[in-house]
Order: sequence, then structure tokens, then C-alpha cells
Amino acid sequence: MEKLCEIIPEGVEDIFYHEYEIKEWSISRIKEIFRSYGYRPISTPSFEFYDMFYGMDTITNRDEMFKIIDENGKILVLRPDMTIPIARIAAANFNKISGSLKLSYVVNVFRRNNSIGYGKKEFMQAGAEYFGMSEPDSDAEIISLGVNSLINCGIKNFMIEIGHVGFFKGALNDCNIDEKRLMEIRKNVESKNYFELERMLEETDIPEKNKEVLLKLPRLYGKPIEVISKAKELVLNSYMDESIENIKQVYKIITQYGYGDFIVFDLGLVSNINYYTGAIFKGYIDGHGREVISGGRYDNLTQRFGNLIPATGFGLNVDEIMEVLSMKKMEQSFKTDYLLIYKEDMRENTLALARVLRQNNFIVETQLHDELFKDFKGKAKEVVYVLKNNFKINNIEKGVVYSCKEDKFLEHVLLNNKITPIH
Amino acid sequence: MDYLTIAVAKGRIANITIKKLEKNVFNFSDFKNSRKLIFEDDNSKIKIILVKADDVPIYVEYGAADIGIVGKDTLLETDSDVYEILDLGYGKCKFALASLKDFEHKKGKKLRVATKYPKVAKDYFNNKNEPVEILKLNGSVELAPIAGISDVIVDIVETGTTLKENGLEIIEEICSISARLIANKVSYKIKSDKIYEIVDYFRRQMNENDICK
Repeated sequence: MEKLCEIIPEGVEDIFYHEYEIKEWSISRIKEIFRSYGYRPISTPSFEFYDMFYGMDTITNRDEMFKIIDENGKILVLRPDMTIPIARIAAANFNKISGSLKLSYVVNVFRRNNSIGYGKKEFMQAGAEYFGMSEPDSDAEIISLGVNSLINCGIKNFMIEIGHVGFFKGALNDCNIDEKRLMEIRKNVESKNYFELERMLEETDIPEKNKEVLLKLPRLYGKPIEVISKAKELVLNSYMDESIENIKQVYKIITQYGYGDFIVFDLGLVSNINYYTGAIFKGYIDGHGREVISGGRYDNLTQRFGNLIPATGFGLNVDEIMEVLSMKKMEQSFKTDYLLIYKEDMRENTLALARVLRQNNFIVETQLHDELFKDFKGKAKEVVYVLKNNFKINNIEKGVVYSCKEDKFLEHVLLNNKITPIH
Repeated sequence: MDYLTIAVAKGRIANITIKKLEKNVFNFSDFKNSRKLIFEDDNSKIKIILVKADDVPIYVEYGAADIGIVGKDTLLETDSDVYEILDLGYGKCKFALASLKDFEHKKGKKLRVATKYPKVAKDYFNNKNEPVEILKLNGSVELAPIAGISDVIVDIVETGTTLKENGLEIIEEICSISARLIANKVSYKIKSDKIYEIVDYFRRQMNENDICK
């Protein structure tokens, strides 16, 4: 049998500290923003019953879910995304009187990903969901929260495209077409495949005026104001009109948040139309081919858990953010400030000193003296040999060696820290 | 300004594409008889990279190329997350289902299908609600029914000569194929103007061709 003890399965990975520190840093930056908007963090089980995901219009294809059979023969699913569990929590805990519920999470999600390319199967998602409000203010808040999270991670060259499923659905209103054809039309609109769409619509029995609108969808993107005025001319019914008014309002509020420059409109954005019910959005970073954030309004989902609550939210792909940040070679990696070397007789003094330094926010490592290990390059900023009468200090960065008494050393270190705090 | 990178499928599609691009505007003089894989035109700020057809959608999806030119056959087989913005009209051929002349499909027996395009074949038979066994081969698919390892084949047919010479005939045409222009989702928005320069350039040429006919 093939031995698999030294390799890890496809689609998952070890992340060593150079990268993981960047990941942890961006998670903390994202959490910081979630918190500052009042989104409460929650956690849900890593696996749940398949029944909960079955029969739902979800973002994740059912074939892409990892299934496990438990000891009672029940089918379990490793969480493919957080929206459904979080909708369950919201439905159970929603308080009609307070009127809204704002939740956030940072968790790993699992999908069998057989697409071309690297096909990651486990990735970290950070998300925020706003329950209870259906006004454009909540859509704008969610999108702005996403924008703010990316900015707080030091990313500035990105773009959020906003669309509205109501515009596409409205364009097909009263057109009797079957689900399969609808999905084909949707796919061609989404992939901006004008020619295939034209060919397909020729064979479809719907009014000419609807066809005309559908054919315009692939190129209905760009600056919000321009898209709105173009879209206005295409309105066939109140559904389409309301959709445009809605995203116009959402855009206006985002501008008031100060994030208008990041926004473009794309009315050809029609992914997951069975799941989303209103404004939807996706975000891309310049020079990085894949989306890093996506979300939208999903007012019907909580109904399944017996409590119809309007909702909107997004998920950020933390691994993609990590990849973008590592490419920029951001120096987030931390360095040990002091490496204290001691012999047995000085152990107690050394550990006491380490405690004091750590209380002052220094990163301190201690190590028993060993003749064999002499090269401390890159291990710490300063290596301190704790001797009985004095300290021998080797400043690795400056390459200078000096010695002094313990009290002098401590005074020097703590004073320096006050003037220029390192962390 | 940044270069616009175009990934082009090596071989016939690349030859036609470069010829079309060079007609008057662009200059890739070092293309002929060269084994280089990257060609740049400094004037128009366009960079062409030659990759294997199957890899074109990957380069584009990952943003290593802004746009790509590749046959619809490859797109159908790979199902990648890109925009497909133009049917370039050249590199025409079709997917077809073919078998030996005297082949008779016995009801109730699962059809054995040999193909280089398992996904295309699977989608086609799924659509017809017909259960099949698919055998993926890497070339000379026409041999499979002769050698007795499959009942039928799903393959690209251009003129039909290869089929005929091997005693096969088309049972059904599945769909037609031609070269397509695909775009990375981010580049499409950010470099929209430049991409549409290329799109319009190809469109003008297609119109000229129509007039010549």
C-alpha cells in the first residue's frame, strides 16, 4: 500500500509562520472592523446534518459538499459556507422588538473543488450578516463594512461591483420559460457571452422587447451613474424600476460612507439568482484574478427556519487576501526582542528578568547556555548572556557587543520602550 | 500604461490570430519560424503568450493573461470562470458523435464512448438522459471502435475525411466550434477600453471578410 504519512491531501495545506502571521494579522484587522460596527462574533459546528443543506438554493453546489456518515447512519456535511447555519441561528434568536441582529464570523469552510487550477478544498471565510432590515441602508452598511475590512488590511486597489437580481428577473417577468433555459440564459449573461446569448434568444419564445433588454445586460456595467441612466431606458415593469431605484439608493449611501470611488455597477451580475433576492456584489483586487469578497441580500432564506427575516451579508476569502498580502511582501513577521542565555546558577534570575520584560510587552526567549549553539543571527534583536556580575549584550542588528549591570540594562530597556514603544 | 497580455492557443489558432493581428496594425515580426513563447509589440503595448490550448483558460482565469483566444471545444471541456466575449468566427469545426458504419445500438446495453473530451461527452449524454461509459483517450480516437474498445466516439470533426478513411460515419452533430475571445473578470472591467479596441479590431475584420464573400 502507498504510504501517505509524509504528504497531505490535495486541496489543503500547511501554512508556515511567514505566511500564517500575515493571515492572523489580516484576521485581526478584519475582526477589529466587524467589532467597530457592532457585529457580534459567533461560532457554529464544523459539521451538520445534510438535511439542513438539502433542498435549499444555496451558494454551494450540493455535489461540492463533503459528506460523512455518522455512527447512526445519518449523513453529515462539513460546513460548505456559513450563511445557512447563521440563518438558522438568526431565526432562532431573532428578537422582533430590538428589530435587528448583526452577526460576524471567521471560520474554515470546506468544498470539494474539482475546478481547473489549484482547487482549494479548505479555506477561511470571514463574514458579516445583517438581519432584520430591508432598507437600502443595511445593504450599504454591509458593502461599506466589506470595503472597510479590505482597507483595514492595507488593500486599496480594489473594486466592488454591484448588481441587482431583480433587474434580470424583471426582464424575464411574464415570460414562460422553463428552468433549464432560464439557467442557460443566466449563464450567458453572467459570462458576458453576447453571441451565444443572441443565438439562444433567437430560439426562445419570448417578446422582442424582453430579448432586447436581455441582450443589453452583458454590457450594462461601468460607472454607477452611467449604468443607471442606461438601465432606466430599458425598464419594462415595476420590478426593474424598483431594482434600479434600490441600487441607486444603496450607491448614494455608500458614497456618504466615503467609499463611492470603489464602486462600479454591473447589471449582468446574476450569480445564484435563486438564492439572492436583491442587491448583490462581488469584489476584486487589481492584479489578482479571483474574487475576494461576495455577498448580497437573501430575504427568503430564514423562512425555512420558520422566521422570515430580511437579511444581507457577505463572505471575505481570507486566504485570497493572505495571498495578495504575501505577494506584496509585507513585513508583518514578528521578531524576538531579547534572547536571554543563562547557566543553571542564573536560571532563577533570568526567568524573573524575562517576566519583567514580557510584562513590558517585549518578546523574550530564554535558553540554557550550550557551547554548541553560538550563531544567533536572525534569532533575536539582542542576545543577552546573563552572568553573575554583569550582562554581556550582543546587539545582532547593529553588530555591537557591550556589557553592563542588570539595573542599568533594565533602566535602559524600559526607558527606551517608553520613548519608542516597539509594539 | 500597462501591457495587455493575450494568451493564445498554440498551433492553428495562433497562426491565424497572429496573421489577423498583423494585417496592418500590430507588429509581431519575430513570430515566424521562432520558438519563442512571448511576443511583444511595443507600439500598441500588447504582449502575446503562446500556451497549450487547454491552458489558455487557466492563464486567463488566474489573471496571468488579460484575455485569451482559444477554441470553444477547450472552453466546453474546462468550464472555467471567465467572460466569453466574442465569437471570432475562425477555427471552425464541430463536435460529433460517430460510429462504424454498420454499428447498431442494442437497447438496454450501456453505450461505450471513447473521447478526448470526457466532459463534453458526459454533458451530451446526460442531456439525452442516456447512461454511458466514457473512456478517455488522448488521440487517434477514431481507432477505438475499430479496435473494439468502444461503440462510438465523440470527437472534433473538421472535414470528415479522417472519419471516412477509417470507416466511420457521423451519427449526430453535437455542436459547432470556433475560436473565442475570453477575458479575465477583473481585467475586463479595469482594462475595458483596451480590450474593446481588440474586440472592435476583430469585428471589423470579420465584417470585411463577410463583404469579400
